[in-house]
Amino acid sequence: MARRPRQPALLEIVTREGVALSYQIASTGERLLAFLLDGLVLICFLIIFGLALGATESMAVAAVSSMLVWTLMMGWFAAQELFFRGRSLGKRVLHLRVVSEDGGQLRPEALLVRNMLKQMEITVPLVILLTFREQAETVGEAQSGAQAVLAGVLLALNLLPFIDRQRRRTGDLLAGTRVVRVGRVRLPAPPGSVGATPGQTRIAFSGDQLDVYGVYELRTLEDVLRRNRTQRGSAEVREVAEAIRKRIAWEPAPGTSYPAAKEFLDAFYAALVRHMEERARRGLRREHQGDRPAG
Amino acid sequence: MSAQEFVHASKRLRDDHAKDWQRYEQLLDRIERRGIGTLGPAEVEALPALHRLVLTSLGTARSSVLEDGLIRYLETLAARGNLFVNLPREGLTRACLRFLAVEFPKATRALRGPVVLATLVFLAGTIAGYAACAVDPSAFHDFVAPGLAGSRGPSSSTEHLESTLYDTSGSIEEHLFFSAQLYRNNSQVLLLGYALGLLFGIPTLFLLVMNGAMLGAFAWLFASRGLGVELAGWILPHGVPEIGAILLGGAGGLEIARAVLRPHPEGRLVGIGIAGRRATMMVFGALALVFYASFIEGIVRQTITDTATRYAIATVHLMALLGWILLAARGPRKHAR
Repeated sequence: MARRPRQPALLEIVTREGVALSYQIASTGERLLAFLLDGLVLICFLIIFGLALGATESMAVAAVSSMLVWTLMMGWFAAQELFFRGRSLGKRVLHLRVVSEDGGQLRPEALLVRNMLKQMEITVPLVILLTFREQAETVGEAQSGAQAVLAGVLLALNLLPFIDRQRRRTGDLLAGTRVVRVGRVRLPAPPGSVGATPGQTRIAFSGDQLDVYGVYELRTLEDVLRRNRTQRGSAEVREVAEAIRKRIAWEPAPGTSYPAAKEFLDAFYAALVRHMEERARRGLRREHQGDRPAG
Repeated sequence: MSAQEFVHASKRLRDDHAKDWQRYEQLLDRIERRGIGTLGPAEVEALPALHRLVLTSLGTARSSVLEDGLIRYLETLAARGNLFVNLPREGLTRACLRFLAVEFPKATRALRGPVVLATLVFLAGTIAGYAACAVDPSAFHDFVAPGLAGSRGPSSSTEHLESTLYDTSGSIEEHLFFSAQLYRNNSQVLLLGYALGLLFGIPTLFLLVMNGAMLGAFAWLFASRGLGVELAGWILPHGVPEIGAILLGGAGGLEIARAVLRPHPEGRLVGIGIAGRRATMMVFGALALVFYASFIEGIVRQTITDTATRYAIATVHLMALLGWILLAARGPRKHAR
């Protein structure tokens, strides 16, 4: 029951207002996917240029296109992130965003820096490797060989995000940025019968019974209730209800029957929240069952 | 207290503010999907107050609400809003202008140490290249790759060497194409010299020395035939921005190497980050210089053959470059934030 997902890496910041906030660091897979999407669009552009280049006889057009192609390759990612403020096309699709590591304003320089390093890590080594034969003829075997080794080293830098827990590329390192996933969370309905008038329920608990659990157990119960919204009650609900009932030794009031598992849990959750809020107001908040109350 | 009076803290917070949270959420959705331009003036004005409200609600929720789902919702909303609040305000054009007028010269001046070091290394390479060729002319081909040397070498005739300095054959289109190639190659070399600072600066130093040696070898070849002044006229108009760019790129690499070798008190990566950011402003300027130099090399050099005019262009370039780096954006800081 107490299974919690492995904690994702977080970027923790404090806003100017002094509020601590955190962002989920995007996974390497998501980043790769976003990059491939951007790359695909870029390649489409390059193919269009290539066709235009092939169709023309004019050296001038060829020269200008060749320069444009190079500039496009160098500036494609930077221009996108600058224009869309930290989100390239691929990042938009995957809900990723570049943020400044201190949570402050993301400056254009930072975006330029991180994308220039992307050229170093990807475009430059790829160009070196793709033009290897041509280079070997102009600058000689030895130098082109050295260049190919350098290209390998540069490509190896791409492994950094796999090692770093904050998933930084060298570009992020130099620019002081992180890529985070900005998920959308809708306002969830309150769990259980919180909000219902407590007097309506026929299921009552004593102070001792409510004293058994701490905040951690309450949150676990909240998760269970959120997972099982229907009134019918799943196997999990029945199991949890039974475990709690035994643990706190709860029996129905004389002359009444056992309530349904879901109804029992809803009532217990509402009563527990109320009990803990009252305790917290007296400085007796308790994190886990069995902890001695603080204060 | 009676049962009727009690209201759960989470319900109280929801009842009071849920409408505003959801309104903020919708506005953020629209900003993310279609940009802030699609918001009406009233909506833009409402944003800061909504953001503060969400932060306040989050504070209340963290201190008194036990419902985890609600806290997480408010945390996510506040985090999203915070991103929007901190988006870059500056337009692209303004950022470019600020870079040229302020960031580049300031970064370069701040890194004068590495710049001087890169210059000395380059000069050492030049002298070594010159001396080595003077001792043994066959060394020329060790320093100058066959593709770059072309038909020039110790065995070429003086007349032929002279003719290469005043070669105006080829159409303007061909020159333009040549420029594009130069730009691609030179920017690649520049970026390599910068990034390979990460490998303790060894490849950076190597690139600086080899570029210097190549210059030295050419200088020896032409000087030994009495063409030194003419060669300088041929090289310097584009050489000032181009060699300047190589030095700045190399200096950027050396600055990164320094951060790698001498760790910052807060950790090596922190130091590399700081060095990289400072150096990058300078390297961007160097890229712009390379772009400019390619045009000069591809076009101006092939069309202007008068040595005096060539020297004039070189002088203007040198003065402009030094003036830009040394004098721009001095005085009180106006851009401090």
